[in-house]
Parts: sequence; structure tokens; C-alpha cells
Amino acid sequence: MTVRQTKAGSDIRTIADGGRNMSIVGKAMLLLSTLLFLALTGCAPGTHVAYVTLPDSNGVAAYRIRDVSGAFTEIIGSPYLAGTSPAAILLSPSGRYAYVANRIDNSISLYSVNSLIGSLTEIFPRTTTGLDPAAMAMNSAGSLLFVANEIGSSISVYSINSASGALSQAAGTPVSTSPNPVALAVTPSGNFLYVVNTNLGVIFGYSVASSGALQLVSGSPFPSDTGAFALTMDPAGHFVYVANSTANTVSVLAIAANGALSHVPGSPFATGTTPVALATSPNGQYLYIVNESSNNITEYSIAPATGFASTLTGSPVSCGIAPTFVVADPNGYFVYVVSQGAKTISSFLVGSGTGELTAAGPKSATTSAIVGGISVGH
Amino acid sequence: MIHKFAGRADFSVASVILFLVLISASPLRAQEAARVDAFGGFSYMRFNALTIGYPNDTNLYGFNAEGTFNIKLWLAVTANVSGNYGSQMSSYHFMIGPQYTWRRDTSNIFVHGLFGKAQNNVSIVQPTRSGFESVGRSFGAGFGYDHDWRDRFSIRVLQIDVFHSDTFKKSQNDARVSTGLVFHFGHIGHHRKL
Repeated sequence: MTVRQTKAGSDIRTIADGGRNMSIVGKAMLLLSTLLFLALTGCAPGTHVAYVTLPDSNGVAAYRIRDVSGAFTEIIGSPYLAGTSPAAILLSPSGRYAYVANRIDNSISLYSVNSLIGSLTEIFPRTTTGLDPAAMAMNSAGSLLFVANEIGSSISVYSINSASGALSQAAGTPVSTSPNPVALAVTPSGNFLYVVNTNLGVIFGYSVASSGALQLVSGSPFPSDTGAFALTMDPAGHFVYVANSTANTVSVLAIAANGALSHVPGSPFATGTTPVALATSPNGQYLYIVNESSNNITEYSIAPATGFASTLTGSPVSCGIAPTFVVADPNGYFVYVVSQGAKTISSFLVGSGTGELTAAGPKSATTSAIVGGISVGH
Repeated sequence: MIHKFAGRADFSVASVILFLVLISASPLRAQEAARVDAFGGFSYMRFNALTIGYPNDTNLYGFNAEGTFNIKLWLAVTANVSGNYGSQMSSYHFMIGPQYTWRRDTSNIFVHGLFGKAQNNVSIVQPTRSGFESVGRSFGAGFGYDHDWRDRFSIRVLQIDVFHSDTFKKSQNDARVSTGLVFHFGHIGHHRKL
């Protein structure tokens, strides 16, 4: 430390030695500050995103969900504008784009997903569909989008531009179907598409060409049970699961090499009252069905070889009033259930190794409106 | 759990640090001081972006400027403006508050309380707008350490502030670390130091 005189004669001391003589207080402050900095910049646990459509307010709400706690945080700017009466929503496998079916507009809205924040920005123009697009499905490659037009009684197929996310209608589509197609699912390979129509109790199977052209599978339609209403696919592509809302059953159907479906032994299996939506765990070991009238979730373990569905211990699990959607977190930690009666999205913890669901306490989001669809991404 | 503190300027942490600073300070000595201290420098902010849907709290970098009017050797009023910028967001603070200073031979240690406004901006393009901005109340506390360098200059070795702000209809707890130069004007006290 150097000491020199001022004009007034008093001495002042300077830090000309580069701070080697910094006081012990200063050093303590530096140490504490370093500790504080490390604490502040420590890594936060992982998160993923969920998007829900709000038909009454023509919007899409976006949530950030923490992997560890399941807590929801609404993403800034949410809800984002959509077309009129948005319903089904899908994320592209890359997570870069989201597609929303606007039922009254008869259109698909394309959104770019902000890679940092998860916010949505709609890219215009919207793509025209058939009458009343009620459901969508996408192949795992993210190259084809399938849309069920409920009032139009048709299936529209669109090829997806991988660079822009833009949709181009495939030649020869829309394809006419039986009345009121309400749900569809595509195999992971993208080779087969399955469709259920209100009140028919059957499943239509289509083979899918690389161009998106559809052709009925030999033997289609395949019987399910009364009131077939929703369906989903085994992630491995071995089985199709169908919720039969009138029969209060779930059908498990094995997929043959040519796309034909056949019930596995024991199918259909009993559910709660009015099963309306179903989801599999990412590893395909568990199946969850929400029952709209009994306000609960039926849980099954699926035998990988046979597809036999065994009810889990503790099943059914109570949930909110009038559950209508169920979706699994792609990381396999949570299952989310949309309750139309309570207007909430509730988190359920998935038991490690058991698949059993446990309500994750108050970890839910209030949507303040009826939900038309939900999609969860990474 | 590691993430308990991650991304959050927990006020309990600030309280512990302030307490440690207080108990480690040596006895005051009567001396002189400048009437006005003007500080300018770099600042780093850890913004509590989890509250608005970011996957993590986010790092912002920018400036911090302060003007401190010394009423007495130990008591001052300080006004503070800072701007911090990061990925798709910026954060400004406009604050004022009382400051208490411990004056030593070659250094000062101060603590202050700050009250004012925070203005936060997120740049996410929407069809009808280019981003989202929110202005809300903010308050906080901080401390710092200045070391004399030249007649009219000190080095602000470190200043740490923690803020609680209400923007975007959410509450954020942010932390800001600053360093830079302090320029001294005027004089108060018994002996002319400058």
C-alpha cells in the first residue's frame, strides 16, 4: 500500500499494490459473494411444456412443468390466439412446431415454438381442412399430419415441410369415411392409421403411403365395442387401445403385419363409467384411462407379449370432476388429467416400477375455461 | 436439494450475508467523506425467469449506475439505475433508498435499502406485438465494498443487491452483482480528505 500527501496535507492510502492488502472484511465479502453467486447460478432441475386449447376463448394456454415437483408455471404471453374453437393440438417430434385444429374455422393453425421459452407464435396463413377438424395424429417422423373432419366425415392428410413446418395437402385427400370420425392414431412406423367414428363401435384401418395416400386395410373395419370413442397406440406399435364409452370397456387389439386388428385374449377389459380418453406410458408398460362419469382413472399393466391388460393395485384413482383428457409426460414421471368440471389440469406421479398413480398434491393448473385438447412436449 | 436456491435470490441468504458483514466490521473512525459518490460499472443479474415460464432462471448482463448523496458521514441517500440484458429479455431497475456506510482508512463498506420500479421486457414476437413489457414495484437491499484508488476515485470491488419485484403478474426474486468505479465530489467531515 502506498501513502502520499494531498494538497491539504492529509495522507491518503491507495490500492497500488493490486489489492494484496485488502482488508479481511473485503476478503470475507468476496468469499461470501462467490458463494452467493454459485448458489444463484446452480442448475435447476429439468422441465417440460404442456399446451392446452381453450375453445371458448379461442386460445392456447402454455405451461412450463418442473420434472421433479410437477409444478405448473404459465409461460409468458399465454394464452396465445388461435382460430375459432380450437380443439386438438399436436407438437411436432422436433418440438419446433405446434398444430392446432380450429373446429369452427375448419382450419389448422401452425405455431413456431420458441426454443428457449416455449412460447408460441402463429405462422399465417392457416391451412384449410374439411368440416369440423376434431382430432389429429402425426407420424413419428413428423412428415405427415392426419386430420379427422367430424362433420365432413373425412380424413385430410398433409405433408409437413421439415424446415418451415408448413402443411401441404396430400394428393387424393381428404378421404371420405363413415360418419363422424372423432379420433385417430398412427403407428410409430407411420404405415397404418386407425380411426374411430362416433356410435359405430368399430375401428377403420388404413395403410399409409409415403405420399400420404390412404387405403383401407383388408378386413377393415374391425370390431371394438359399443361406443368406441378414443384410441391410442402402443409406443412399440404392437397394439391399439380403444376406449368404448358406452360399454365401459377398453379394447386391446393386436396389429398384424398387414395392419389388420384382432382382439387380444381377454379383450375388451372393464373400465370405469364412460371411458373417454386413454394414454400409455412412454415405455408402453402401463395404460391409463379416464372415466368421465365415475371421475377416476383406471390403471393397467400391459403384458408386452400378449397385450393382456391387468388392473393395477390401487386402481381406480380418483381425479377431478368429468375428466376428458389424459396424457403422459414424455419423461415418464407424470400423467396429466384434464378435468372439464373443475377446469383444471392435475398432475399424477407415476410410481417407479409400479406404474401406479398418486395425485401430486396441489400441482395443477386452472385453465379457467373448458379445454379442447392437450399436448405435452419435452 | 441443489435447486432449492438455484435461480432465486433468497432474502434469507442476503440477511445472513448482511449479518456477517455487520459483525465483521471494525470500529468506526471519525473521518471525512465526499458529499456525492457517483458509481458506474458492470452488473450481472440472475433473473428469476422461472416465474414467467423459462426453463431456468436466466443470466442478464449490463450496467449499474448510482448517485449517492452523503448527508452525514454514515448516512446517505442513494439513487440507482441499472439495465441488464440477456436472451430475449431485458430488465431495468429504477431505485432509491437510504444507505449506511462504515468508513475505514482506505475503504468503505455500505448497506442500503432500495425502493422503486422494475421494468422487464421479453422479446417474443406475436402477430400483433413484438414482445411483452411489464412495470411493477420493486424493493430490495444490498451491500458493497469500495476501496480507495486515487484522490477522487474508488474501486467498487463488489456490490450485491437482491430485489423482490412484481412484474408480469408474478413475483420475482432477483440478484444483482456489480463492480466498477466510484467518483467522489465535494466534501463533508472534519478533515479534508480529497
